[in-house]
Amino acid sequence: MHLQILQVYFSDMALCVAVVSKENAPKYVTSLNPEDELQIQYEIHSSIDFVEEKLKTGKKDMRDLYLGLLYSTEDHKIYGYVTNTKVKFFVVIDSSNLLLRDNEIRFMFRKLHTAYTDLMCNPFYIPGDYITSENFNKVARGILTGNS
Amino acid sequence: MVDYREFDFPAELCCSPSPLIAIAGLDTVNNAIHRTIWDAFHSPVGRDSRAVLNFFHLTSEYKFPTLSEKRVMPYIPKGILKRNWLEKHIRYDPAVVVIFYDCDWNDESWNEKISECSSRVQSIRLSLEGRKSRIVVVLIQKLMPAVDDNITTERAASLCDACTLNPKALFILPVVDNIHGYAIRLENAFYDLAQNYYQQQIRAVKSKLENLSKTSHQYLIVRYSFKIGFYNELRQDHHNAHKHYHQCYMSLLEIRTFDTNIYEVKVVAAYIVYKISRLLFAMKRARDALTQFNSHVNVFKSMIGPPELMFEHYSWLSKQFSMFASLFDETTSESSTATQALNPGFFFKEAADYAKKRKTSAYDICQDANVYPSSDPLNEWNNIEFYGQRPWRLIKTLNNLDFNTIEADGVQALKFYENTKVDHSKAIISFLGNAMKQFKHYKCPRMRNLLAVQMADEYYNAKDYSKALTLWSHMLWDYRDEGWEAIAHELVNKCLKCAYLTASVQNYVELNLEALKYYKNIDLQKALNNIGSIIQRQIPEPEKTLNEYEKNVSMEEWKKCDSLRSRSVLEIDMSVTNSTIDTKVILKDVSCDGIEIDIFIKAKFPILVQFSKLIACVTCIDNTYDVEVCTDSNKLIYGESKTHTYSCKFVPSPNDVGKEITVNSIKLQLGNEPDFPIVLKFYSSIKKTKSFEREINNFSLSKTYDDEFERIKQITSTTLKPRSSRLGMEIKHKNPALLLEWYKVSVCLTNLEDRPVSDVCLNLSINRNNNEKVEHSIEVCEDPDKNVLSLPVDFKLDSMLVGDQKTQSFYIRFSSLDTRTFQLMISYSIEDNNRTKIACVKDVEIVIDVSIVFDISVSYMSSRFEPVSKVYVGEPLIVVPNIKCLSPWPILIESTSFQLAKHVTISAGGYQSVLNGVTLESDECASEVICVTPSELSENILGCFTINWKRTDVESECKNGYSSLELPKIIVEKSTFLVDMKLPAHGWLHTPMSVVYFLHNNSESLLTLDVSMEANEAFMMAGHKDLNVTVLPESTYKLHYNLYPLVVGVSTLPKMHIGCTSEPNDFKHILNDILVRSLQTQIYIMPKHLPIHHTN
Repeated sequence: MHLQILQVYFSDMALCVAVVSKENAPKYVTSLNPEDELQIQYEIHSSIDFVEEKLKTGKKDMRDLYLGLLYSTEDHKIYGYVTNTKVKFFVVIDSSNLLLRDNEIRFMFRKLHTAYTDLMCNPFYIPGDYITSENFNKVARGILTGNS
Repeated sequence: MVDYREFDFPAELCCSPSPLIAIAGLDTVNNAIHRTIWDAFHSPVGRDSRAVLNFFHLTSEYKFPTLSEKRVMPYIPKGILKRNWLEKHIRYDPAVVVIFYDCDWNDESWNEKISECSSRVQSIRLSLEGRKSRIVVVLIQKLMPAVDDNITTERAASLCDACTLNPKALFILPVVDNIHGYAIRLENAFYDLAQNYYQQQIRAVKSKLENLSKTSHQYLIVRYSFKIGFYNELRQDHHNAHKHYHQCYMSLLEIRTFDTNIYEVKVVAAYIVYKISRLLFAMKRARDALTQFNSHVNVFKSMIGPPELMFEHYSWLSKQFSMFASLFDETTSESSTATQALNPGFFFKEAADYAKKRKTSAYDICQDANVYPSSDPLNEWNNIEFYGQRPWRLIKTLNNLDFNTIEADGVQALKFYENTKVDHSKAIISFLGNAMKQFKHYKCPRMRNLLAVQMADEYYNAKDYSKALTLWSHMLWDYRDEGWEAIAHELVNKCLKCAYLTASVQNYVELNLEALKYYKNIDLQKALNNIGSIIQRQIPEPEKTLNEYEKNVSMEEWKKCDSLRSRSVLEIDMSVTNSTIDTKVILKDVSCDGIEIDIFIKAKFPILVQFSKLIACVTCIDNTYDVEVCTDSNKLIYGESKTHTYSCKFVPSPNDVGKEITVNSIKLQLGNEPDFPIVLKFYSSIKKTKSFEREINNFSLSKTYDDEFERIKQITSTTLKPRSSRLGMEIKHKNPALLLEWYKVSVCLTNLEDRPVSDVCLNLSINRNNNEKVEHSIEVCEDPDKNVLSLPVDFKLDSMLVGDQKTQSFYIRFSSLDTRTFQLMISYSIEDNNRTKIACVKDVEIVIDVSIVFDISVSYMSSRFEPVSKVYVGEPLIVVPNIKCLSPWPILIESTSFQLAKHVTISAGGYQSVLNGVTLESDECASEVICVTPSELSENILGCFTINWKRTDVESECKNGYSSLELPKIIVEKSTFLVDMKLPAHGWLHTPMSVVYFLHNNSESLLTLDVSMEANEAFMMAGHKDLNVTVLPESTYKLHYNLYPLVVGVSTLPKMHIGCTSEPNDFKHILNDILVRSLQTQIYIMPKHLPIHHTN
């Protein structure tokens, strides 16, 4: 029910979804507009600073993997999420998109995390390789377009 | 065009204002006292707790600023804030005028003084023209004022009267001592007066403000609230100042804006926000400052104004951010208000972003503005009355020109200025530089990288290609090392462009090599071709993204490029370049005879690439070897992914023995001379860029060439060992050694080399693993008769011919039982074919256990061979050492001896060793015996027992071992009475025999004894049966008995009893004890000796 409502609401949900390994190398990047992707990659890269800072200072509640808004520019807002194994997920949304709430972004991350866990369970995937899984790609694209 | 300056924050706004105090009557040049007073006001002592005042000299020439004409209030002003108003109050309009005057209370010409002073006050009051500035008179006095002096009070009153001065405004400054203290008190007084003055000003402005209506007097409302705010700031009342500035800002927002006044509103808004931010930061309310600033920017972001002046808006916004960032930085650098997520860097970054927008819009709008209008619309910019107004509007009012023309000219002038005079790139770069500094400080390295890339972009735009190249290439490494390939790819493209534009051959080739990793198909082919062109000393094909102009520029650069023509070889450091080719090195076999190196090359090229040479550079401390591993270019063709293996061998110089040998680098040469060969230099020791290990490496199903290569573990350096020895060596010794023996070790060397050796030397040292105690219990000598040597010992054997054999023996003596490890090192030198000496070394370990020789125990016996635990002085004692041989070897006892203490004498008959020449096998026992008599009472040490021994198999001349034992202690007591007897060894049946008893009195008094003999059946006895004997001091009494044995065999002798009546009971026991120990109780009686009758 909840999912359906979301679908109706948002056609474009996020601009970019990225997975970054614990060594901070990109493992998966997909974006709505390929021409923006490089700029967004730069921004995601620089927001790793804030993730590292948050990991270093230690969150109050380690169970909450969601890091919230990391960094916002005039065009983009970057949200972060970090798994227990220090794999980072990033979701970039348009700064003008005021419809997305914190809860919806949390939901996106949860979906990503589930997809990532499924990927890890796949014996044919070698951990640390660039992610080329179709299933994962489908979930990530779904987050971008809002059709999941 | 005059020197126009665009919008900025003026100095009078940015300073922190303090009450202005005018000082009159101080001649600081000629009068020393006046000078000290002036200095006291400015001294830094205790500055923190003192009132902040701004002093200036009020000279007679000083003109106060003209008062603004009094208008009928309220009126409609021409602008919001007057440009001169702030400065007027900071510099020229004093809150307090202080008149210093030299005058003592008891001055002789008091009346003249009073009139001079009053005239001074009057003249100053006149020049103030009705200003409300407080006037204060300070009398400089050379004497301390007397307390409650009538004259003083009277004269003070008269002075105040004459000057029409409030008595509270008259101060005395005695220049006796501690001017500093007085100065502080005066300062506080001035400060209070200044507060008072500004309060009055505020009240005056407030009353004007009340008469204004919000609809028609918006400008004045803003101006007056600003004034109130500023007066409060002068009063150091931050809280109220902020309150009024805030009100001022709110009223400003209510002003309706048009194209004509929007710039003025923005400028004034910026100034007010500056004041507010500054105050908030000063009050440690950084968070409020941020909120205030954000809302300010949000409000004004959209107030662009006339679109043809868009750039001006961006300039203004950029200034807002940079101003705020600087304030943020200044005020929070000490406190920790700023954090990583919120630091001045972000504001500098925004400033840079707006500066970029300004640049773009300036480029869009002002491109054609190349002519400055003839009407010179900016001429009057420095004379405008109000902040943020347009200078050309002044001309309009002066010359009555057409509004639209003038306005258009003004805009044109601004565009011209923007187009020709503004260095946008410089501004952007400086903002980015500031931002980078902040991000570095707040530990955001990646954000800093992003800004560095942007900075390089700007350098590129400003056509400073070499700086752009440097920055980009550094960023390229950072991004590449973290695995951000998409970004690295873009940066490679950018760098290549720069390298091409600057015709920097070195960088160009490096980057092309790097690009091989990212490029595909045509691009890749092109990169390889371009490298080829360089080798051919030709100009490479330009990068495709360059425009025509850039192509021409770079072509010129390439034509001028020297290195392409003059240099013979181009060396590329591959440690900073990450290409599709990589090397690894393993030092396989390292010895004097040859060093073997394996080199692995992993290469991946889309087409076959032929290299010409492979060289390994091996370095030692002094030497370097360039080993040509492969010069056959047919073996150096690389194409698809594969790992190629090469191996080579070379002989090192003998001088490098014992030093570290390192494979410093691998050089792979592309192309041949006389072309321009490129040498790829791989430094093997430097850790290559972080390679990302797979998280679970062995998960990989198929082993690719990549894995194989990755798994090769490099060995790049090692120590060159000396040539191994070929001398035959035999070490002979019979383990275990015995304690305190001179243990012989012989080393037999045979020269098995094929040529003579020299400087043969044996070095004996104790292994470090032994503990320190052990070291002290070792003696070494070459011969037991010679001196003891100290470890480590060198035995020099000189030279040995081929086949020679030499033996070196040495002796070691151990005085403790631990097992020792010795290190025996043989070193010698041998000449090789070139007559150079090569050192050879061999190291051998010798382990020696130590075991004990004898277990010796001593027992003491009485003359009756019964064990005793004590002995009386003068009584004989039999000492029996029992020797048990524990040595694994048979031991020959050479001699035994007793070293008796002085007070012990050997009994008659002396000592004769019974064990001399006896050989004891393992576990055999032997006993020695000696009879001694302790002659006096002293310490109960009797002496030592020593055995000199040697192994049975050792040649006789050798020095022996010995074992020595201190005889155990026994209690020696003195007795006043001793008894002794003399009887034959045995008796014959029916044959009388004589027995003599000796009674010794050792005391110095008479001893009276009752002696009785108890007869028995074995003997008939002749002699005294009961007798009372008196023994004289220090003498002996003899008792003779004749015994006639009656039975054969062991017979009990008649028993003697001795009693003593004169001595106490104790003595009785001693007597009995002595009798029991000293007297024999039995004797053996032989059957009667029958003479043999010879019967025929």
